[in-house]
Amino acid sequence: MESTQIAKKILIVDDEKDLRDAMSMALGYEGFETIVAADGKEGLIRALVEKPDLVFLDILMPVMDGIEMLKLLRKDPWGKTVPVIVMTAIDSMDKIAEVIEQGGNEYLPKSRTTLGAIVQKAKERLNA
Amino acid sequence: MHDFFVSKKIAFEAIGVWCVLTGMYVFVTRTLDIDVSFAFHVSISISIVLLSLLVYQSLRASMNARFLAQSMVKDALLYSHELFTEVYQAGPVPYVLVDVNGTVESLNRAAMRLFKTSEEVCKGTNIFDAVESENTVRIGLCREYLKQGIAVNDEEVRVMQVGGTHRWVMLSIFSFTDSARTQKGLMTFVDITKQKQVDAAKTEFVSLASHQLRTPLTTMKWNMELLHSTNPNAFTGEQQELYGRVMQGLVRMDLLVTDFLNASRFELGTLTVDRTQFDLTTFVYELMQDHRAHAEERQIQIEEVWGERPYLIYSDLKLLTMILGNLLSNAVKYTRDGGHVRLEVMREAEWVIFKVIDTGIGIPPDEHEQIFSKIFRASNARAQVAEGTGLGLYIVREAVTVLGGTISFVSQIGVGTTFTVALPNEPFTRML
Repeated sequence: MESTQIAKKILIVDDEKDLRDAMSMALGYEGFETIVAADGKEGLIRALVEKPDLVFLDILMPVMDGIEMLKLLRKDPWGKTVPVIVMTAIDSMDKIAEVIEQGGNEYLPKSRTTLGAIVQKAKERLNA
Repeated sequence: MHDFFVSKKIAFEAIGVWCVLTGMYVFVTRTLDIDVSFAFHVSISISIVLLSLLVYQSLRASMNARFLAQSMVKDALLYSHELFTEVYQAGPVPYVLVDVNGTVESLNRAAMRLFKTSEEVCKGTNIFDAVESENTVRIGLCREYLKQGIAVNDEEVRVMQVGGTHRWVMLSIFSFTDSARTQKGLMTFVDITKQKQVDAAKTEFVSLASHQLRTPLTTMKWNMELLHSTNPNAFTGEQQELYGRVMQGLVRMDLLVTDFLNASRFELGTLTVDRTQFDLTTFVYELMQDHRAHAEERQIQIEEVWGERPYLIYSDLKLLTMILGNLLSNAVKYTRDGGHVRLEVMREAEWVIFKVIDTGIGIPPDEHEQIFSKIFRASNARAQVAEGTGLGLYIVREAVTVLGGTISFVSQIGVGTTFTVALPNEPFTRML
C-alpha cells in the first residue's frame, strides 16, 4: 500500500487481547489502520464513531456478543452497509445461520484461519 | 424301582416264613403224632395270617415312603416358590412382570422404588408410557420384540418417575410362557444414572478443556506466523525447519482439540442443528482446496465429480464440514503417494449423495464393525500413520445421524475404500 494513500481503517472486535493484538499487528504490517474493541458494546461505539471500512467481529464476548452488536450496527444508516467478517470459533459455529440472518457478510473459523488468510480477506474486501 | 425291591423282599420273607412253618409242621406232627389234616389247616391259616400281616406292613411301608416323597416334593416346591417370591420381591434389581403389550401385572419392591410408585397404582398401566429414549424408534422396537417374544438386552433408556424426575436405566426384556400357556415378559431395569452422571462429567471436562485450549492454540499459531512473516529472511535453514515443526505440532494439536470438542458435544447433546440453504458448489470447492495442498505434496490426485448437480443444499454447514472434511482427510491420509482420491456428488430424488473414494490401504474385514466406534483406529491405519484420535469416523457417523442421513462403506485391503453418505435435501426439492 502506498504511503500517500489514506490507510483503510479496520475495526477488530474480540475479547481475547492476544488474538486482537496479533490481528492488529498483521493488518498493520500491510498498511491498514486498525482500531480494537474488547466487547460488542465498545465495538458498536467505536464503529459508529470511527466509521471503519471493515469490521472483524468475534461472536462469543462478554457485555454484548457479536450477534447483538451486528443487529444494532445494521440498524444504523451507515452501519447497514459496512462489510462485517465474523470470526467464529468452533463453539459458535451453531450461530452461523443467525450471523447470515443478521447481515454478516462472511464468516471465518478462527482456529482454522491463518493470519495470512485474514489479511488476504481484508485486501479482497477493501480492494487494497 | 424301589417298589420292585420292596415286593421282592416281601416275597422272600413270605417264602422264609412258609419254610419255617412247614419245618415246624413236620417236626410237631411226627413227634406228637397229631392229626395231619387238622395240623395242616392250622398251619396254613397261621401262614396266611402272617403272610397277610407281612403284605399289609410292606404295603403300608411302601405307602408311607411314597407319601413322604410326595410331601418332600411339595415342601421343596413350596420352598422354591417362597424363595422365588422372596428373590423377586426383595431383590435389588427392579423387576416388572408384563403381558405381551407391556401392561403391568406386578412389580417388585425395587421397581416400586425406581418408579416411585406402588403396585396398585402401576398395575394395569402400560410400562412403555413410563419409558423414554433419545431414539424413539428404539422404544417401538422394544415393544415389537416383547410382542414377538424376542429378548431385549441392555437398551439404554430413561424411566419417568412419579413426580416428573427421571433415572437412566439399562432395560432388558425376557419373554416366557406361564403355566396357563400365556406369553409374558419379565423386564429388568438396571439403574445407570450414576454411571451416566460420571460419563457426563468426564465429557464436560473434555469439552471444557478443549474449549479452553482453543484460544491459546490460536494465539500461538498466529504469533508464530507473525514471527516468521516479520523476519522471513532472518531465519536460518535450521530455524526454518524448527519453525515448521512447531507449526505442524500446533496444527495437529488444533485438530485433536477440535475432534475432542466435537465428540464431547455429540455426547452431551449440546450440538444444535441449524439448517440453512447454501451453495454446494462453493462449499465443495473450498473443502477440496483445504485438502488439495496436502494431497499434492504426496502426488495424490484429488478431484471432484458431479452427477446431476444439486447447486443448492439445505443442510447444516458445520455438520456437513465435519462429515466430508473427516472423510476426505482420512482418504488423503491413508492413500499411498501417487494414489487417487475422488469426491462424487450427485442428487437422487430428495437426497444428496456424497461418495468419497480412495485407493488407500483399505479397512481389514474383521474390523468393519468397529470402524465407527469411538477411539478406534484400524490396525493397519495405526501401523501406517501414527497420528489420529480415532474420533473422526465416530464424529462422521454422529453428524450423519443428526442430519437424518445414512452412511455405508465398501473396502478392500490394498485396493481402497468408498464411503457413501446420503443426506436428505427435502426443502431443496420443494423449491424446484
